[in-house]
Amino acid sequence: MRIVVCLKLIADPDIIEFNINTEELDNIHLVLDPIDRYALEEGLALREKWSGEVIAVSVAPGAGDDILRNALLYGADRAIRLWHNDLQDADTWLVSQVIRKGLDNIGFDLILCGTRSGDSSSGLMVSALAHRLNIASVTGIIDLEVGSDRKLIVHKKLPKGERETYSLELPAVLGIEEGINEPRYVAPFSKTFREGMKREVEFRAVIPGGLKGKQLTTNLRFTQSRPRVKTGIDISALSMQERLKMMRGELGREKEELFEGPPEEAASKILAVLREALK
Amino acid sequence: MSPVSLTYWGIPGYAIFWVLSLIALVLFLLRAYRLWRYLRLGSGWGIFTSLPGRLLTALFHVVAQWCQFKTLSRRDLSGLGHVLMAWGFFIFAVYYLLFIIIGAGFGIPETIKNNSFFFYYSWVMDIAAPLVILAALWGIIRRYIIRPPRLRGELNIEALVILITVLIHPVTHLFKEATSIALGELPVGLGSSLPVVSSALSNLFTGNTLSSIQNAGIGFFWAHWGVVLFVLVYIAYSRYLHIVAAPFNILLSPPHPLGALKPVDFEATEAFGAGSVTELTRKQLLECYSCVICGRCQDACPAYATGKTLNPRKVVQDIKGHLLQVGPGLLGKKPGGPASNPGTALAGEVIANDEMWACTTCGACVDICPVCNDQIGMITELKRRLVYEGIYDNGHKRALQRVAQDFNPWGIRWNNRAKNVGIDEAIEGEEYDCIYWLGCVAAFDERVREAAQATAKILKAAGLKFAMLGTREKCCGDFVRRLGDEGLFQGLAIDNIKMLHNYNFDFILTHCPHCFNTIKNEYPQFGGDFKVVHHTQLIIDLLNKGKIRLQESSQKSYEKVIYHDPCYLARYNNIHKEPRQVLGKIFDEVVEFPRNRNNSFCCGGGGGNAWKEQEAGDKMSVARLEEAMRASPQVLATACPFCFLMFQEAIQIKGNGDGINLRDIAEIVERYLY
Amino acid sequence: MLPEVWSFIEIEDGDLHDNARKMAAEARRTAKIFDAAACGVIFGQYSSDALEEVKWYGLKKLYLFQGEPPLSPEIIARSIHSAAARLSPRFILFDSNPSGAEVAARVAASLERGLISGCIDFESEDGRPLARKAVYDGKAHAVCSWTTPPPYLATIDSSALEDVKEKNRTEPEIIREELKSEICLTNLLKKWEVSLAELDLSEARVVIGVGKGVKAEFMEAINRLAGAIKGVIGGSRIAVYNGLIPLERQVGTTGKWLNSEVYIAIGISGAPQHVMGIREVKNIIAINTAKEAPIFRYARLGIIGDLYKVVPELTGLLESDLKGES
Repeated sequence: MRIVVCLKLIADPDIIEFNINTEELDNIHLVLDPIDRYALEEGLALREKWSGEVIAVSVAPGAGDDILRNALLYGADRAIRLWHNDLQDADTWLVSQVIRKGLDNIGFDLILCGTRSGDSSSGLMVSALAHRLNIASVTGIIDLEVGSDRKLIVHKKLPKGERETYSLELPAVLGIEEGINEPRYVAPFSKTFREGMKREVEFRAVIPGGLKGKQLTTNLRFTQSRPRVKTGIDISALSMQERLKMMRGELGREKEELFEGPPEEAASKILAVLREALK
Repeated sequence: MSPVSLTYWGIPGYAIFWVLSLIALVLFLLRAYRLWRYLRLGSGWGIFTSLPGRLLTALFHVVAQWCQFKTLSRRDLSGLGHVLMAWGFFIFAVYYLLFIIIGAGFGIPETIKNNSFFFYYSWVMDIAAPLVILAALWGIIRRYIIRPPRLRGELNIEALVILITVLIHPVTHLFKEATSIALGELPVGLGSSLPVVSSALSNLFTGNTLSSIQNAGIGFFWAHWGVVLFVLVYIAYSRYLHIVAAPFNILLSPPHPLGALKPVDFEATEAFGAGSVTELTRKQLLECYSCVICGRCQDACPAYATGKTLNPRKVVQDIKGHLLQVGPGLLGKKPGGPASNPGTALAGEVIANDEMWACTTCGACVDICPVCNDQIGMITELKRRLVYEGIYDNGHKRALQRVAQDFNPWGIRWNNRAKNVGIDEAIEGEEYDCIYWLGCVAAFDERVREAAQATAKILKAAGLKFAMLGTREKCCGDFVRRLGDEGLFQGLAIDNIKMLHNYNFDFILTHCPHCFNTIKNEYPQFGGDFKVVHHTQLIIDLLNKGKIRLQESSQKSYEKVIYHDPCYLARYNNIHKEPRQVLGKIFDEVVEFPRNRNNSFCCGGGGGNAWKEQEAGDKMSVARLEEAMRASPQVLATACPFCFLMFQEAIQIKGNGDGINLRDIAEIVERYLY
Repeated sequence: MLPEVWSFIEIEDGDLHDNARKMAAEARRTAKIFDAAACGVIFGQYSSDALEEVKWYGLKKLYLFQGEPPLSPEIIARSIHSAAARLSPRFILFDSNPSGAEVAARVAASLERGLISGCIDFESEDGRPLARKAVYDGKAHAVCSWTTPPPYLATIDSSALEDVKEKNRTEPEIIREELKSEICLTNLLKKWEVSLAELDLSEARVVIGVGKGVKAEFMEAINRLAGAIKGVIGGSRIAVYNGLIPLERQVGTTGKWLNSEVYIAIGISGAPQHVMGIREVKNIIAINTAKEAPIFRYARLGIIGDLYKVVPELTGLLESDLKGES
């Protein structure tokens, strides 16, 4: 089974900061999108079960070599970086075209991506790839079983503990959800690591003219986070404190309360909070 | 008249004597040679340091029997028995060489014996023999009647045979001397009286005919010598081997086995760790030969005491047993070759994963071993092989993953390190007295952070110029190395050392004994030579120099405090005076655990155990807390953040009913600062 | 004719889904911003009650695609594609939950139109529509525009959604559309719920945490509470040690990290290692006899009391509440 895992190089969302003064993003540390670790692990686990090949692919500038090299060290059989400088601000739609072209000479059975990225979170990549390749797709996958006759049974994670179960046939592209597995750990210089050291990241330049697709959306600028002003609230009636609270999303959050009294009353208070919290 | 000079059924005694002796010698040598060849299956000897010094140490251990005296405790005086047996052995050995092999064997007994040396030596033997008998009897009673825990699993024939041989040869010797005295053959020297015990025994023979006494004497002689020859052979076939192996083992052991693990050279080694006996060093295999299965390490091991499957004695013996088992097959191939032995999975099959992962690296086993074995060294090699193969305990794996990604084992993003501690960050170019190395616990845990803040207050009061490293500090890598992930450890060490070289400071102050040990004893392996001080050392130093003062010393706290020695401070680095001195200045009553200083009982947090998934048995921290509570203290003082966390949890498990307060020494001092 | 804002309104068991009302309100709000007509897009079997409720949201049209559930995102997307290609709405809005997000992505891909996900708000600049969305986990907002002609596709972030009813009811024009359910590449077999016993702590809306203060014999009462509130039981390390809960249910630094709506800490003191696991919980309720218990620092509601009394009271109230509702 040949499994392609798409890896995205993003600025670490936990580390990045928005600078209010310069209106720019600071503390940009380029890392592998955390959700892609689950995709890579799923690919490696499938290969262990069904034997085959895992190919890590990333559309990224030079820094992307790091995450691809790590994929090799973790056990991927091949790692391919696709790039052209014109892709600097490419949106998901355009990147999906790059990947599609990149897979031209590579046959595959399955493509695994993270369901949504840690930076833009568009959730578009899987469907875009599926559309371009005209193959089956499902996103938000929390569990996956491969039948021997190229049939897949997948379970999609919905909120509140719900699931949808789908069946589909290979070839397919799947959006992996966080928590589908527990990513392995490969220690430096361990057996798998050593084998990975023998492999190199491949680079394929993308010819810009050959990209039929174009951007469908564009980022104009970054601004400070501002929650939406809810309709029921008249801003002019808010005090300065309350306005600040609203900006931080804290308006409407009840004050903390400490209660000491008869159990019946305590229970009622709890019920009130529950009702409010779960409505 | 020597029994050797007689003739038996037409065969001269000399022939019997020498043939038997030579047969025994040959049997011994053949087996010893085989064992030597098995030993050489190990990979290299390694580097030995300070051999001249070690020679003295070895002599002290062996001749003065320091190997036993160092293990004596109020609860276990059995080492004295071995002292008697060992000294007895030396005394008898001289006797055998001079008076039997040379004297009787070469037919010159009268010449050898007809002098005052022999006379005085008979007295020596006469005192030694009964003592050896007592020791042997004590040994037998202990092992088979009293049956203490550390000897309980070992009721095998070998132990019994050995004890009986130890018992028999002084008995036969005494009786032989008794018959000589009864026959009037013992040369009277210079008008002095005869050796007491033998003389007393000789009275048993009054009323017997001369010839029967003679025959008895001959019988005792040959029985005696037969036992001696048996023992000679048995040395190569039993734990008696330690007589030969242990002195060399002690000679070749490092002066401080605890503290620094040997690094792996990743360029030279493809597969690190030990998967088969050929990947252990010859020194380590020698340790297996030296082990006498005394079980002191088993007694000392906190994992074993709390019901885990780990037993350091079993580990050593299992490896030895495995060596003897696979040795013959391996000798067919080139010894010391690459890891090409399928099916000899030392790590995982011979020794189960759980056994290795239960080790907190507390060092109690290494510290107490009479023959200077390094059980932790062996276990670490096995753990390294598991890491190489990618086999982990789930909890350990997560901790390693987290360190690999965020340089701390908690899974908190690295940019939150040392947040809210409130200490200035170091600036390049500035001169500092000390860099305060927080360590992963103080940097992230809310409660332990208070201890770090207390330390900062003390440093300020002392007028020291200090700073912390903030997010530039990465996990020191101690537990990473102890778990066998040498690659990740070296990466951390190299990064930390490179970072530290950017700053100017006199010394590094660590809050945590693990950081202390690693930076002080292991970072030099990678070019990081720093002066490292633990916070208890610094505090007593500041107090002694008057740089900080405590509130009115006459008003010592009335609370009773008990101090727990962290393994990495007391056993690994011999720091146990300073914390007590500090506490002594504040508290009226500083109570000791029954097991304190080098005998401290591990809290269970070391070696990555703090993150291990729940396992069998009781918690070490709970066992230790119970030990503390028996003294009814108000305060439990620690000097290690991991001990702190473990005790915090133990107190929750046990319940706060006794109202015991858990405090770091820094917090205690800060509270009493003038 | 006014341009249309379509909003995908989800139906569950015939009734309006949780966010469906909010999506309807969103259609109206967006329509106001861009001078358009708010329309709803509904799939599946809907009850008359649902239709009645929808009238409170000022929708001009309702596009109804009737069909037998389960309807997979593929079918829904194809159907919307077909209708949109024909009717050219200006905007098509979706919820950003897993279902809505996938449908939106499929429609965007098949129509080859721009999709902006996780929108917080819309605005108009120089006549062109702009969307404001959260990026990097909410660290910043990005203002984006579509570079393709309409329909403009967007998913709306749940924090922005609000259930705002109009003062008067509006009768929408009901247009029945055709379901495109021909040969699909994926087959939705079933929709189901993970049992509470197997539900992972990180997915539960309500988690009950037991700690040192809870005796083993009381776990039956705790289980009853969990059943009444449809919650999952977790706890501190001590609870695992005391055998109250299995290891997988441990909440804390070395266990699970929750982001549930509610966490009820029962008999838990609030040691830092445990609190680490509940930092992201939206509402923490704590019951403990000790006033100084650290857990109270993090709780929205702290009850200083005897859990052995409070828990049964609460269970009783919840059970009668449930009975009252059904």
